[in-house]
Amino acid sequence: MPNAKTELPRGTLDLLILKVLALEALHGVGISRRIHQITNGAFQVSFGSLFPSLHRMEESGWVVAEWRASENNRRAKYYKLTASGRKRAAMEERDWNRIVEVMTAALRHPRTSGEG
Amino acid sequence: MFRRAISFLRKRKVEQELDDELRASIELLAQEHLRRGLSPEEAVRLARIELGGIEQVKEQVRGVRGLPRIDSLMRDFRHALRNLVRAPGFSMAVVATLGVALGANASLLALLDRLILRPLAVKEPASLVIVNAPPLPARRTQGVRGIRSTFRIDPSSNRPGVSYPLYAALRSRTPVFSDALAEMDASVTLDSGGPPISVRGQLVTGNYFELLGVKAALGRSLIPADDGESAGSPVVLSHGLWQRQFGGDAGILSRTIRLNRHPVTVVGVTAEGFTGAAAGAAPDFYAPLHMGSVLLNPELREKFRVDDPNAHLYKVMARLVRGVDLAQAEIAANQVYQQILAEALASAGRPVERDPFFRRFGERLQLSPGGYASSNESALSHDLRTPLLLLMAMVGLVLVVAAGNVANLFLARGEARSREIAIRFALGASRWRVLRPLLVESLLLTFTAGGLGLVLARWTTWLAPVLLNVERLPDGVTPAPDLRIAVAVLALSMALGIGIWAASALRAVAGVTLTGIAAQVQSGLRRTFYWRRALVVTQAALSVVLLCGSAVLSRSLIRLMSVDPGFSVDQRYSFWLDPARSGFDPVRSSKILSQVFDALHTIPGVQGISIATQLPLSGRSDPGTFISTDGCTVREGESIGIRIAHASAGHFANLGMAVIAGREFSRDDMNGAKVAVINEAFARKCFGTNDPIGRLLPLEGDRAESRVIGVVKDIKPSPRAPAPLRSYTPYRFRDPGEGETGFAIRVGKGVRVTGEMVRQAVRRVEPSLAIDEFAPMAEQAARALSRDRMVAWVSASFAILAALLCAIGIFGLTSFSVARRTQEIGVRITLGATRASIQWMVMREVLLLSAVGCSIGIVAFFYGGRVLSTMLFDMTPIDPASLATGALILSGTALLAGLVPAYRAALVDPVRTLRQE
Repeated sequence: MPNAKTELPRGTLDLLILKVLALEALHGVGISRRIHQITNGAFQVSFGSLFPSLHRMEESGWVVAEWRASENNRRAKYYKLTASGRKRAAMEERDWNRIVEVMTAALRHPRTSGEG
Repeated sequence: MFRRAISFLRKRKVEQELDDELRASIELLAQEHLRRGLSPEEAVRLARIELGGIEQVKEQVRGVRGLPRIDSLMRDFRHALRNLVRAPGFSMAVVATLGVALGANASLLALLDRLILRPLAVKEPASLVIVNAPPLPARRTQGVRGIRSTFRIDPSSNRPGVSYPLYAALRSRTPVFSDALAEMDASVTLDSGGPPISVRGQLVTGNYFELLGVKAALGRSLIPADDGESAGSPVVLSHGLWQRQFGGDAGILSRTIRLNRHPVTVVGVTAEGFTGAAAGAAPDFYAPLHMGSVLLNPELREKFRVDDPNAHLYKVMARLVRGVDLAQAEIAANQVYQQILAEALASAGRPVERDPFFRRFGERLQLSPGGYASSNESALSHDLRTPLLLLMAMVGLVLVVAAGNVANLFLARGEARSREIAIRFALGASRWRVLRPLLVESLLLTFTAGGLGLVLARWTTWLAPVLLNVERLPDGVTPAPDLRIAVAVLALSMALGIGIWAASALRAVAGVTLTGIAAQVQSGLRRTFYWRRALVVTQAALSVVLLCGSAVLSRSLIRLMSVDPGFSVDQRYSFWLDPARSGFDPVRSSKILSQVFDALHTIPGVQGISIATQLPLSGRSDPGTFISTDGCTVREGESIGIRIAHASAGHFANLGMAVIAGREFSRDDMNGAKVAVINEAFARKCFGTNDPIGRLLPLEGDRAESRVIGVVKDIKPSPRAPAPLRSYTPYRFRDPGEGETGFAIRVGKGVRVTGEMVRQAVRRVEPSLAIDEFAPMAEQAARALSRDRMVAWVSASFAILAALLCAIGIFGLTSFSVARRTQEIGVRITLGATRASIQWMVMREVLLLSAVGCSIGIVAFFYGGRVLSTMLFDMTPIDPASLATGALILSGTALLAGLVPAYRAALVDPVRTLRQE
């Protein structure tokens, strides 16, 4: 179901943003597009949650922002990952993987799979 | 947390960036749509939809950024505004009472600030000090018994001036002074073409402006090169005088003006805002010291030499070198002074011991801070300090009483809404969420009141000179609030807003919890009711304090008014004349004076004219001299300070002054014979119980050869001040340069003499003469008490205002209490209670409230009232009659306020109240 729009689970947006920014610095619209891309269009990020997240990360020092010219020569605010942002990304990724592992295992467990 | 704070500080920048960022995003999105071939309008529309509303996104980000949630704040603000507009009477009453109180606070604060608090408009005011150095002993000359020194005693600090040699020695020898200046006041007549006017100036050393770091607005200021006599007569005008008298004309630099008929060159105008080294003095011009020989009053001018070691005339200010504090500097400077003193004592020869007279000024040099308005007291700030502080305290109390009413009104409204509040808590609203709109509402009211207060203070600026009874406040002194005061008043408004909110809203929600809403509402009600009573009692107590204070002040005023002035003021006029100031030589001056004396007799209705160099109530200080006391009962070798005036024949009879012993001057005394009339105080001090008539005193010259022929009653310079030791010698028209001459005119009953009549008579003698301060003496007597009268009136108005506010508070509370107990009252009436007993029940509460308030107030006044001591005449603040008056007025007002609700309570219809149940 690659084209079905899914609500982004809580807490995953930050991880996705950090992951996207780990590759290159991007502006808000760019980040939204990139998330859309890498999730094959499964996740539609609303700007109403994207911008607050970005600003929160800026407050926490995970990203820094700078103004530069965009691909079509417009001024745009670019976000770049900081060292602490990278650490955070790694940590969140580990946490996420752990959750997925645990959840998958839990869901596959005979007592929940409806086979027992 | 820190980042949040930073972000809060930079909120404007962040807000701007956020806006830019969102705009840029919309453009980026629109670009994509454009590329897909949409029309530009459509592209932007879609982009906006995609972004999901700029304002919503912003609001979300603000929440993250610690920015004020504009949206919800605005909501609170609108809500508050709506609430206030919905009750326009309530809002207007609150804004008006608080506005008036805040306005009075603003005006007084502005005056106090200008006179006392703010730093002078000079460079680095903090490093300026005033140097108080006791006079050095005078050098005794062989064969002369008394030493004649000239002193200027500063009325506020009661310290003598510094002589030039001492100043110069301190300046050059004190390492902690980077420089020092000397200054001295002079009052002169300014003649710039139009009618001559009196102006006041400062004689200063050439380094004055450089030391203070004051620039010239036009031309140049004075420089050290101006110090020598050879520099001519350079004068620097104050900005204020330049504006007032010359309309700010830059051509002033090329004009010649005359001071005391002496042509001077205006070399510059001081920078705007600089009003001298003492607040409230505001000199009109500045001239080098050596010009004292033309600018000082004639009596000083005569013997004036800048560097006379026996002329203790100057006020000295110094600038400390960087990094030295006051205490260190004082120690260092005092060491230098001690050396100078030792040298002076050594060279004085015998006797080595200092004259006891000098000793009373102490033998230590003292420094005091000099850079603040309060440090260098002018006569005005000295006079006004206590009354202004007192009135400030009073308006402060009025403000608190007014705020108490507002808090009470808020509490009453809070009770009406307490059910709603409890429900909102129950629904999970945070305490802050419930309290915030109330805070916004309270602040909205107090800020509006603060703004109104500032406008009122601005509008009533003209009132200040009227109340303070001065023709014009000095430059730089004004009750008009400036930015500094505006900020202070708005801060006060904010504090008031928070205070009112804390006293009402916090109280209303305290303890309201999720459980048992109904019960909580009930108990909450009861609790706030106690709290409201406490507020009213506080108001009553403060009002009693104010009422007692104003009662004491009024009684003191009545006492002051009944002080016997020692002469009669009715049917008497006086004025001053000084031909020397218009440039006439002594011979011509004497002739003019005697011609004027004759000319005045031609005014119809005049019964008597006398001349003296000192008139009662004139407020002029006259020359003082120290005489050795040979022949007195005072210890041998000691000198006493006396004041000498000259009076013409029949002067005492003309003024209605009683001659207690001997006789007064006759016409024959005026020619030659060395005779004197002394006052009671002098006679008592010098001769004790012995008969002074016929004794000899050294009044003219150093030999005791003036024979005392009479003793007259003391005349106090003002009702409070003790009469100085005074002697009169005959006024002879031949005396040159005796200073100004006072004329006392006695007229028949019902005769009115106008200034114009006198002016015409004087003009017939010499057209260029200006007469000074013509006024009926009764008016002058009234003016001497004007400040007391002002304080009494203003404090009475504030006290009555406070009592009225308190009455409103009591009325509100009692009405509320009656309304709350309607059912109970109905039941009581049903059970047979009489109307009278119901009324008594209500009034009993009012009585209790005011009795508690009065008791607290009187106790408070007992402790706090002593601040009034210095304002009072011949009585202490703890005056039983005044305390009783204060308490009675308040209780009376309170009872009146309680009558209406009590009456209403008695009219309760039991049937209807029971049916409601």
